[in-house]
Amino acid sequence: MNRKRSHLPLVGILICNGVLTGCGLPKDPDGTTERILSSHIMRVGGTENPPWLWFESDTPRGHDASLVQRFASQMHARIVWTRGSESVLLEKLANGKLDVAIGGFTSDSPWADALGTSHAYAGEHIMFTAPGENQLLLQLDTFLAGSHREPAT
Amino acid sequence: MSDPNGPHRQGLEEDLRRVRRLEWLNIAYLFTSITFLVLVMSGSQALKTEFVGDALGLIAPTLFLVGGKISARKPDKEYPFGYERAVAVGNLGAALALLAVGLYLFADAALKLVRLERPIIGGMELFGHVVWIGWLAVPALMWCAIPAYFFGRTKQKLAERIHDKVLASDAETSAANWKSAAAAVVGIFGVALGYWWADAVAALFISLEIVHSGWDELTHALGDLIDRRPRMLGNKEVDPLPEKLTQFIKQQDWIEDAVVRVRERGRELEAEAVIVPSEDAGLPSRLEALSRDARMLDERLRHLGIMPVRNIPVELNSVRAER
Repeated sequence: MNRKRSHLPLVGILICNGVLTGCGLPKDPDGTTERILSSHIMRVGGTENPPWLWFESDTPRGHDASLVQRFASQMHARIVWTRGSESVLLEKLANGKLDVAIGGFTSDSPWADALGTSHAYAGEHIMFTAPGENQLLLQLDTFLAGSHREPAT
Repeated sequence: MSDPNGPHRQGLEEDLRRVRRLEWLNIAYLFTSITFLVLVMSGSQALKTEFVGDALGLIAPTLFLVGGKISARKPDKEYPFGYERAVAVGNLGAALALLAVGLYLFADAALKLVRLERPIIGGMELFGHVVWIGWLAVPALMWCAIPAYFFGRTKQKLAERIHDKVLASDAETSAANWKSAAAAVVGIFGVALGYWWADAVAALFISLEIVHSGWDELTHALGDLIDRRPRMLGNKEVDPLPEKLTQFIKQQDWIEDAVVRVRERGRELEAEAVIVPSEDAGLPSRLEALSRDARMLDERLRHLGIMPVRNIPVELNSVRAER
């Protein structure tokens, strides 16, 4: 009895969450998620940082690379890569020129307050998303939580 | 024989006990709402502001409980007028803190707007589901608003009963809390709809509420410390007691002229009368009787000091309560 009752608010939250998320809320102020879904292109910035990410003649390799590939394919998008140093990439991300940035970033990065920071994976590792694009961040968080439960094949 | 300082209102002790219980409950409640807010704060400026506001809300009940203990101390050699003013000093500090933090939060939110900084709110894993933290903030904010509203209403009623202004302004702040929580909810929904600025605008509104209550408390505390003439609960209208008391004293056929000064001391009032008696015979017993009778005018009037003089000192002429 008591257990059931204590679950009620939680069930309510989850139902509301389902309904509201179903309506596409929260929306991205710049409409990133909608753009990715309609154009099937995700703009990812990568900075080399083995073993998380490195490039073998323009082919991205490493843990973060395969993770973001799976995220993109889940959104039916292919990735357009931008290579660069951390500061260049994150500046672009902050200005909305990129959607996601990877390269073995950790949650103690000085950029963590200014950019969208994903759920942590593999310890303290995170991906960055364009700031304020909350639907994209939510999509990424949901994906990462799922991939956390079912480790990569 | 009871207190030589005059009648003590019946049921006051009982009411005070209730208020103290309520304040303890309020503190416990604020800890829960602060905890909820910390859990869902994320990148929202509105929630951060609401969180700070709630944390500042702890000051008033704490001051009431601590100040009540200190001000109840009996006067002693070192503090011959008692410790009542300790509460006003505490309130002054709290008011300055509220004001400063409110202004800081206002500037913080304004800066976010100017710099076009967008609130970043992601998901939180909850029993295997990832939920947008913004949605979690809504029930947390309701928990900040609804109990606070009822705390405020109950405190307001008790404040009127025990004539406690500190409690009254605390009550007003609590009761107004639903406004700031509602603003935060609007901000969150705005962000959900893609209007990133809604968050900072809500934060501006909430910080203005904090500044407003800080300003209110500041005028209270300063008024108390500078011995401003008594105000009615709510701080707006002046208390009619000084005029009433002057009239009452002047009506005595053995008094030619009088100047009365009344000041607040916590929940009670303290008066000082300078009178010109027409005859000196039996003065001590007349003064005693007058002091006793005058205190019947108002249950808050705890002390009336009477000073008989030949002529009213000139500097008191500017004080005369009546025109």
